[in-house]
Amino acid sequence: MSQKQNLYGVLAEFPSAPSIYHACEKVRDKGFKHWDAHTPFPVHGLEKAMGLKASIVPWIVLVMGLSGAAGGMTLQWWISTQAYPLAISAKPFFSWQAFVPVTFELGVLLGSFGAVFGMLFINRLPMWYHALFRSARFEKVTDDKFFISIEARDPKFDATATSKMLTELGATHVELVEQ
Amino acid sequence: METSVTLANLEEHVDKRSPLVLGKETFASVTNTVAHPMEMKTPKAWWICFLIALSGLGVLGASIGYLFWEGVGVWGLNNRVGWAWDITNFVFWVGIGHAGTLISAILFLFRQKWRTSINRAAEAMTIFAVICALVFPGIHVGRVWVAYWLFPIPNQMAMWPNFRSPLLWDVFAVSTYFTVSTLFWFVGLIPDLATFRDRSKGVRKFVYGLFALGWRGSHRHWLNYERAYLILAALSTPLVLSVHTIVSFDFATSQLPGWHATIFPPYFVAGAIFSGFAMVINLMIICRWVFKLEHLVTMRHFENMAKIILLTGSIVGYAYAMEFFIAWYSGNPYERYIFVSRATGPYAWAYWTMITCNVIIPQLFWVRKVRTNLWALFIISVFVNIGMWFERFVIIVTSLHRTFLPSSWAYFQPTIIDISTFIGSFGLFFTLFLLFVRFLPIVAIAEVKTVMPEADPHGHDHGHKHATGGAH
Amino acid sequence: MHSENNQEKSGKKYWRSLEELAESPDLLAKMKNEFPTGAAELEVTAGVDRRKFLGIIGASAAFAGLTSATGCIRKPSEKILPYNKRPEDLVEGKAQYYASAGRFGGSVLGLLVTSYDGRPTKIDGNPSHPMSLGATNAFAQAAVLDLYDPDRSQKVLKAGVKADGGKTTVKSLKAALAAAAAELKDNAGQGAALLMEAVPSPTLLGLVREFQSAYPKTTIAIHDPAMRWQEAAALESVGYKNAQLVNRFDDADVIVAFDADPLGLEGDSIRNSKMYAAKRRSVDETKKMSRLYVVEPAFSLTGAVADHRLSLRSSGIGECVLALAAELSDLGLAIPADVVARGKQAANPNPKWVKALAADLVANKGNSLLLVGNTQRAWVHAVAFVINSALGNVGRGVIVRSSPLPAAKTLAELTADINRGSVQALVMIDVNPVYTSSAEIGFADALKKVKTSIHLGYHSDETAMASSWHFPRSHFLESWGDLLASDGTASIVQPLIEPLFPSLSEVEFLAGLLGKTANGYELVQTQWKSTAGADFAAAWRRWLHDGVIKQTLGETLSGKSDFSALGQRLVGVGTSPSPSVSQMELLLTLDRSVYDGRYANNAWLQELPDSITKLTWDNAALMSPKTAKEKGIKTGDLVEIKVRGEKERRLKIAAFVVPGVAEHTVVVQLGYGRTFNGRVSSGTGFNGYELLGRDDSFNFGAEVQLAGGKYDLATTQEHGVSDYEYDTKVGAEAIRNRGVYRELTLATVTAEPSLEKAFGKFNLGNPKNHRTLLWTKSIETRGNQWGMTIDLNSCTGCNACTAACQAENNISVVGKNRVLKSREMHWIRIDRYFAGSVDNPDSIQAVFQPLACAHCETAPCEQVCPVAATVHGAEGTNDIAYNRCIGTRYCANNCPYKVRRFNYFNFSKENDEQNPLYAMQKNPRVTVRFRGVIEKCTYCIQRVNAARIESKLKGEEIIRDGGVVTACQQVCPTDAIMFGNINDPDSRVSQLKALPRNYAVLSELAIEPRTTFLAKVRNANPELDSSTQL
Repeated sequence: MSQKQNLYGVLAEFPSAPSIYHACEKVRDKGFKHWDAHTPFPVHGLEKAMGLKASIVPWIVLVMGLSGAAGGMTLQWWISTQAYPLAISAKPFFSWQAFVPVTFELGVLLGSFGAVFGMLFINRLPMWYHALFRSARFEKVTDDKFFISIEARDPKFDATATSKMLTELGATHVELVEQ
Repeated sequence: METSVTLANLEEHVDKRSPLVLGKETFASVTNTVAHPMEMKTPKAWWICFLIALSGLGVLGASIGYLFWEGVGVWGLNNRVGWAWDITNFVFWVGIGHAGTLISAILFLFRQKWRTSINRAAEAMTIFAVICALVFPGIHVGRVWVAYWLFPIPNQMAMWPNFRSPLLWDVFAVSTYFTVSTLFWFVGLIPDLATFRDRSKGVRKFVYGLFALGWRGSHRHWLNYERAYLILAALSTPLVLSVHTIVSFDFATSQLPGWHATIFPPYFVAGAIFSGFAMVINLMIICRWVFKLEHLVTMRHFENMAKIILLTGSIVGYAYAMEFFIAWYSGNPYERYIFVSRATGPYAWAYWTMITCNVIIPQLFWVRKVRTNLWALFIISVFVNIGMWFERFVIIVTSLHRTFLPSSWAYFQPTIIDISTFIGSFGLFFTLFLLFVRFLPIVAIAEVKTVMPEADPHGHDHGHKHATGGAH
Repeated sequence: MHSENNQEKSGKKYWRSLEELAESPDLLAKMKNEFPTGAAELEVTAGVDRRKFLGIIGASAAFAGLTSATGCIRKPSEKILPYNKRPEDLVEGKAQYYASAGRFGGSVLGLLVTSYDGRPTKIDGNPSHPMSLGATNAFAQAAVLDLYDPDRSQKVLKAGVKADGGKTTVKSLKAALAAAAAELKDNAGQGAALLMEAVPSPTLLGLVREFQSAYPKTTIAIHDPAMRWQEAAALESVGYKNAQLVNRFDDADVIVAFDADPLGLEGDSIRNSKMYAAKRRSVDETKKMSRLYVVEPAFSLTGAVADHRLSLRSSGIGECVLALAAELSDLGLAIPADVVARGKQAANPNPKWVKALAADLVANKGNSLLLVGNTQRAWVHAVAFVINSALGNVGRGVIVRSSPLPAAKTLAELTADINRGSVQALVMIDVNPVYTSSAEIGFADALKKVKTSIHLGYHSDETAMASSWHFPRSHFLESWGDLLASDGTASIVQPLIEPLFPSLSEVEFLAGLLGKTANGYELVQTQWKSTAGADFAAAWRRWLHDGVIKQTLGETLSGKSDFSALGQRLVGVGTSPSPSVSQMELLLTLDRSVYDGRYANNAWLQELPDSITKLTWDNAALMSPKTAKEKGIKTGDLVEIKVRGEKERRLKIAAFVVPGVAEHTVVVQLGYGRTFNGRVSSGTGFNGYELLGRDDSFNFGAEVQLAGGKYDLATTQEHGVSDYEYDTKVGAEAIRNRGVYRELTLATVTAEPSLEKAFGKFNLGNPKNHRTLLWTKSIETRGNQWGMTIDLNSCTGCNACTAACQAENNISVVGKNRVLKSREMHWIRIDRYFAGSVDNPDSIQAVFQPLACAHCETAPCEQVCPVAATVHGAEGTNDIAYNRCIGTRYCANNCPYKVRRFNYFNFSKENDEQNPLYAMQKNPRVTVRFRGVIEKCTYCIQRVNAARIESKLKGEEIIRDGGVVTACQQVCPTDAIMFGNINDPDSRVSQLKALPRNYAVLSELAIEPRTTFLAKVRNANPELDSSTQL
């Protein structure tokens, strides 16, 4: 029990992209919820193998981008017709054609903020401490090794059974990771 | 298929569509190769270059200090030619910046995998070039201490900028461009920073770890990450086009003969890519040679870039010709006069330098032997950048020095400060770039791995028929 | 602006009487009577009521501390009367206007001087004075700067070294003068001489007569470039003793100028220009205008505006006049036989031309006018007078008047006397002969022989150093005096400020030497007591107020001219060898900027571009492109000019190639290369006097060859142009295509009054091609809407507007090196274009186009300013908020007229540091611009605002027509500039804009400028087509 308290989960190491790909398919089919795959680079199609849903980052970008553009045009309209209208080259106070560039730039700017900070937010990053960092072998995850981690809080989780399953799936090394 | 790949991996065949990574590279070896320049003992060559660059930066600082102390008069400008080297350098650097974004964003969107080995360095180049560019509009104003009035900051005088001015569009465009490129670059760096966090000890581990934001290669992260990266690329693409379009508006929306031309936006963008790629070639040839990256930065990369230079160079040449045609066709005497005087007037020497460097010399790239000869590539690229600097000089100065009224024709001569400021800006650029190659991975490790055959999740297991990845 | 101790220094330096202000009770007393209220305040300056004290100081506190305190109470101790306000109600920062008079370039002008808090800041013409008629020339405009010239003489010199220990005060000055007078008494007995300029001042001349009676052995000598010796001699030869000619352009239909510049540097140029211009403008109503013929060796202003110009070497002019005389007698004019006889063999430069001219003259008997220039010999003047009287012009356009000046000797004659030992004492009043005379005369050496030489001068100049006594002269704005205009109208010269430095006016000086104690005020009053009649006080008030004394002095001579003596005068004259490449003709002329050198230390005039060459800060050896090519000389080459006379004269000088100079003639302007080292004058140009002969202003057989080396000549046009010829050609080309400068012939105007076809030929300038705007303009259209017209038909390119603008708007001087970089700051420039072929000198024409900000309605400068520093005002002006400008210079780049000026350095600060007194001249109503901002013409917005306040007080919303007069408009001697409300259809500017001649430069850009131009109309003689038009 006590051991179960501070157990984060099990971490299995795989040698190659294909091996982890197939392993993920199996883990997915076994119906695990709280698990993840760790790879040095985005293995193509792995999200299918893991059965992940599409990212919502695009929606954040869309909203931010549009509000940026809208805000830009509003700012320019307000400044040149409300705050301080000035006769400049006898042009109309609201010369919207001239305001397009700034509108566009602000749209892009806020859109990219949405993309970057939205992504980080969804990924709960930055997170400088994580249980997996306790494993020495896990350092290879940013080099050439592939890992699957299954968390203890997963209802289907069982330290011994799960480890056994992962070894069967072709893990070259399996270990339990403390919280 | 995969056997042929593995075979071909052993050496490069420029005639065949050769692979992007050569030799018997593994994931680990890629990591090591890229890590090498950062982990090796600092080479003497680096120190020498760095000191030279640093003194260049010093020259820039001194020149700017003198400028601020005395006034813009220390440059050769006059009441007829209000802009000269200052804005020329600005456009020159912004232009160079463009190749970086182009390589990283547009080629990414087009799934041009060959970009992966060079995009990191190219992006860095973009950012440093844009920094250099930002210096000039900043210091060219008569009263630098109030330059912040360019931004719409609420103030007790209720004074606001004039959004009809292309110069203000510039402020927004270039600063947005700088911000977005930096974000794009940083996002790309995160996984590699994690790599170095995991490789290094002590302070380095801490610093890299700090900036790696705790990246742990989680595929749930990769999912959002790739999406965000793709979107950034999608946003950067119109952005990079808009930036140089807007820069060209500084001239196109004015009414000076020689400036007032609808052809400017595409022509400027092409020119920017043109000069940008030339600069990338110069930098990559050096890095490749110094850091032994022959296996990652292959001849195919250079050849592709040479082709782009050839294309954009020809577009630029076409634009030059078209300017003359329109000047004649419009029947506008001012327009006609300014172009005749460009080619025959006091600044003819500058004009013909431009033509030679931008239109004639790049045509050599039709020949594969030239495209694949590093020396030729390097020298031609240098010429291209000289030519592109002169293009901006010709556009700005020759148009200004002989405008509508012959009574106000004048001649511009640069002062020593003009020159030192320009040279100094190279100091700034190379200082930043040298720091970059020393402390950050100049090749996007994670990305390179994705284009290796081993990265294909279906590569080595037979019988699996629903494979789609391999083809990419 | 100045640091504390700096103030201290300047205070001591510029104000003689700070100590006295503190100590001497009599001065305070003096102030009491002068300034009841002011003095009361002043007594509490101890610090009790500092606030009130500052109240007095008022706006003038703007410049160096203590000096300002004195600045506002620096008023002459005598009662003077403002032109239109009482002096008692001194309102700080409010302008006061005083009438005065001055003599510039030989013509006497009635003036109206603006003064702020006791600081004279601007000089303008007095509308009620017949010779200025409200206008002035550039010299008069710049005279106010001379007042604040830090290099002006401030010390009494004895044998070239500071007398009284260099601490000259009023007291020591008086003492020194007494000493000098004593010395004079000792020596003058054996023979004295009085050397002065041709100043027609009754008071001064009265004193001269007294001097003569005091010292019977006195010779009067006059040394003055404006003195018309040759004309006087000519008149004497036809029976008018001590007479002078006065020319009236009022109804001259045909004017012929032989090497004369009546619209520029000679005679009453302002009045002449006014009258001439009126005649030209009449084309709009009557379709008639006067015709101007000019025969000259190099472009004068008169030549530049001529309808027909013959380019002829100076030595050939006389022949031409003779030939004309012969032609005229063929046409049945009564010309003395011997003149005709001589005329028959005269070398006629261009028979066709002279024939046509003769016909034209005969057709306009009585309404024509022949003028001969100062440089021409007496016999030429005589023949011209013969022709004038034969045409019946004498008594109409040509009036013979008795000269107010005493019979006098020339400098050469005086020098001879000195060398003969008949002059022991020499008094020199405001002359600088050591510099301004020919080496051949050898005055400098002669001066050493004189026992006592007493000199009065504004600078401690070359002569001052060589004399045994030198006394500083007061500026005319500091001294009492009187002047006679050429038509006899008298004006009182009234001071606006007490001398900044201890100094003497001409009259005080001469009176002092005669042992009189009376000051200028008393001297002038005594002079005029007699003429005043019963109520002197009232008359005096009126004179001071009006600036003119109505009843005129001197009489018109209407004696019978007698031409009998003329025959033998013509024997052997004029037969001069015609010059060649090796033996060129050298012509020395007065300079349009520094005159004979007296204005060499005036920064405004030094930087004022010459009307023709556009040269600043230098003179040069001018020659025609053709001659230059023959000699392989290019602009900027150093050449050596060698002339053989009594002794060989040489000068190394920079060459300047310019069309319009007669072939094989080299022209050098005098007045540069001063050895007197003023902080402005030093290092400018080359001393032409070194080439001057005994009595010739032109010389034969001058050898000109390359001396090797280059010299930077700073022009404001064709900046850094290497190939002048190419560029003028291209320029003229461009002008022709672009319709920037439009010129018509009288024939065209009469043939097609609407001028649609005439203007249609300008492929872009044609109104039909004008673009219409894509949007509705957002600018205000109600109320006053300011606009301007500039009549190219009257403009003579005299530069007065540029100078006036500089004085009114606190425009900085940038110096030669910055002009070389084309960074000059003038708000209104005068573009000069040439037409014709350089191979045919007679075809060369020059035209002028004054150009300032045109205040475009859709101003291209506004939309590009990122910080909205330049925007449109409610009255249609294009305004700049200097404080908002960050200096991107984008507006200057996008300005099609290139009229915007950028402060590349802190020019105004530099100016004040170099010449600390200049700050006193600044117009308090105009912002002084600082480093890093753009500036340009504001349509004198400060004057507009002042007028708006006036009319608001009267309860009028619309400012009445003529309520605002811009500085350039006010000064213009030809009324070429008109400014006013274009919303009011009856305003003069609207009426001018309605004329068919009206056009906008670059209108095809749809910039809708508020300043438009009226096309020039050339009244070509059908006999001679001047087809070389722009």
